[in-house]
Amino acid sequence: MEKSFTLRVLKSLNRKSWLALGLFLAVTLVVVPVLHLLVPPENAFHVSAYAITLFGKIMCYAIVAIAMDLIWGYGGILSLGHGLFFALGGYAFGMYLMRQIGRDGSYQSDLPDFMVFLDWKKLPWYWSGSDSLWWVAFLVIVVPAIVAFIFGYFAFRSRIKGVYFSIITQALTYAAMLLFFRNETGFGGNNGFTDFKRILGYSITSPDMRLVLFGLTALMLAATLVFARWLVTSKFGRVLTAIRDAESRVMFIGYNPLWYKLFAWVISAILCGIAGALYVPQVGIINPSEMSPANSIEIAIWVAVGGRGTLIGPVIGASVVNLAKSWFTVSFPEYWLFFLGLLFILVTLLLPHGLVGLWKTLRQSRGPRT
Amino acid sequence: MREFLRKVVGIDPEKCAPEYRVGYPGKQRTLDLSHNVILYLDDISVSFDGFKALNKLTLAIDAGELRCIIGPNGAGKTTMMDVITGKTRPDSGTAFFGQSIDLTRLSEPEIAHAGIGRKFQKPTIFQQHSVFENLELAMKTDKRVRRSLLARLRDEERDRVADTLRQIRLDTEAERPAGLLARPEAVAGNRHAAGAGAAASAARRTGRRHDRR
Ligand SMILES: Nc1ncnc2c1ncn2[C@@H]1O[C@H](COP(=O)(O)OP(=O)(O)OP(=O)(O)O)[C@@H](O)[C@H]1O
Ligand SMILES: [Mg+2]
Repeated sequence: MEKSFTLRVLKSLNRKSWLALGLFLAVTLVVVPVLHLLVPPENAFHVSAYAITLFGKIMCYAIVAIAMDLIWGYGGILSLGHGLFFALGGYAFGMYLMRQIGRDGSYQSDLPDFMVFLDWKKLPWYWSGSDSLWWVAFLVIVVPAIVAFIFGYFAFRSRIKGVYFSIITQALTYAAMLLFFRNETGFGGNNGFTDFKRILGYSITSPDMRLVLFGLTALMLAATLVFARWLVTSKFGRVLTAIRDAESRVMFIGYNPLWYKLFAWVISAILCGIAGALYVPQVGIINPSEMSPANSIEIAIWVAVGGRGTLIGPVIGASVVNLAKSWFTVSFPEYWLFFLGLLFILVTLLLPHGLVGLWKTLRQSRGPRT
Repeated sequence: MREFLRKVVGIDPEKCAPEYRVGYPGKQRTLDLSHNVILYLDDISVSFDGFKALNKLTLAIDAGELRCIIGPNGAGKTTMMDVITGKTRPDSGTAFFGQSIDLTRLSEPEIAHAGIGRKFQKPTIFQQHSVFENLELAMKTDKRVRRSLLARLRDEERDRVADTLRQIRLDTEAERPAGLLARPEAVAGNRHAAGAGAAASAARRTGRRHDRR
């Protein structure tokens, strides 16, 4: 019965979507590297390091937005704490990056600088194994998953829903932020981790490493899209949207919403963790502000702007909002939050289905071609 | 009477007693009907903030029996259904399905798997899902996460849904979103949508309770 599993994953996307995905990978894995390495900087076609970092960052955000959409758009569960899972993945990978600095820090110690500063003599137990890329890759997945499982299990079992759930997730990420702000927690306090030097011994600032990270992020984004598509077109996805629309009916026909919500919730957290781990080496810093409540709200705004309940919507939303942000924060830094608030109000009032919904309406009004 | 049960309610009385199988395929067990009582509520009381919605209700229904519960608004009919289907826990009293299944200890999905289906006072369907998907979700099968992730609809399951669709004359509408059937201006559509809800429970086939105005 399970023999055609691969086939079903292949069939969950139509031909046009596979073409678009192929084109996306060709651009990110071939065209961009060529334009970055081989075209001289004077040339108009040169892709700068700044652009690569910016788009690498946006792709990480796009993964987070898809993860958010899985539980919000499809499951009807609005999390305002997804920044926590992103940060946990980032911190987990950040530990490895800190260990890779070796003795090149300002104190020439085997310990990360902030530990020397605190006069610690050895690594705390939870840092053990953090010099191994594989162990850290494992942590990137498992830590967000465990936190999400424990939190989700109790919240969903107690049938906490709607705005109450959202508020508790805000409290969760806020509490985690306060915890990480403390120096004694062992994650660098309010400075977090920065000044990374290497991955696997290779310089993190080299163009090659930049392109590898960029390419990995592109691959992860593509894989996330395919996976999410398969998930929402499976029967699991249909039960999940049914829970969103009429939860009590789902229970009375014999599904236990607890496990469905919990599965989607944990998957969503894992995707955020992976995105965070890809993000940190590209931007070169992770600190507790990633867990600030406002950050998590912003994630919800990306999804709302792009269009909930579609998979391309969150990708578009994350891209548009963050491109606007990077322009705003250079031109009028003090107005960004006002603009974000305005955007959210306008989208909620005028575009309930986001930009994707707008696009669909425009196409229909131009006359349906059958 | 037997014809009515078979045609309208969808229960075949001959199939009810004495061998009444509950649970999803593969995990079926026989309901213990040794005293021929299928549902037994004893001394059930439910109060909401001091207001007694059910006051020492006792009710026994035999296997194969059809019982209609009537009463004025607020009499407690829905509350009784809520107790039977696990939505509300009684303050006191016992509720048994067959001789051995204690309904007050099971969750809503567990009770559904034990074989008690329910239709709502206000018709509820999954509006965003197609008519076909509404039936697919309601169908009796393994409803755990793993199965819904990996397994796909088997041919015999597809046939069962198709049969039900024909029976309720919605086979031509199978792919339409169920919400579109219920538009108020389409009178016929309205009846169909209610039909889809009823059919969803009809697909379950076992000891159903109807709760309508
Ligand atoms: N969750 C609740 N909280 C408080 N009171 C409730 C609750 N549910 C029901 N009641 C009250 O319990 C009483 C019984 O309600 P119930 O819905 O069972 O009546 P009913 O027989 O189904 O009525 P109708 O014919 O109007 O459907 C009513 O007075 C109702 O207001
Ligand atoms: Mg009622």
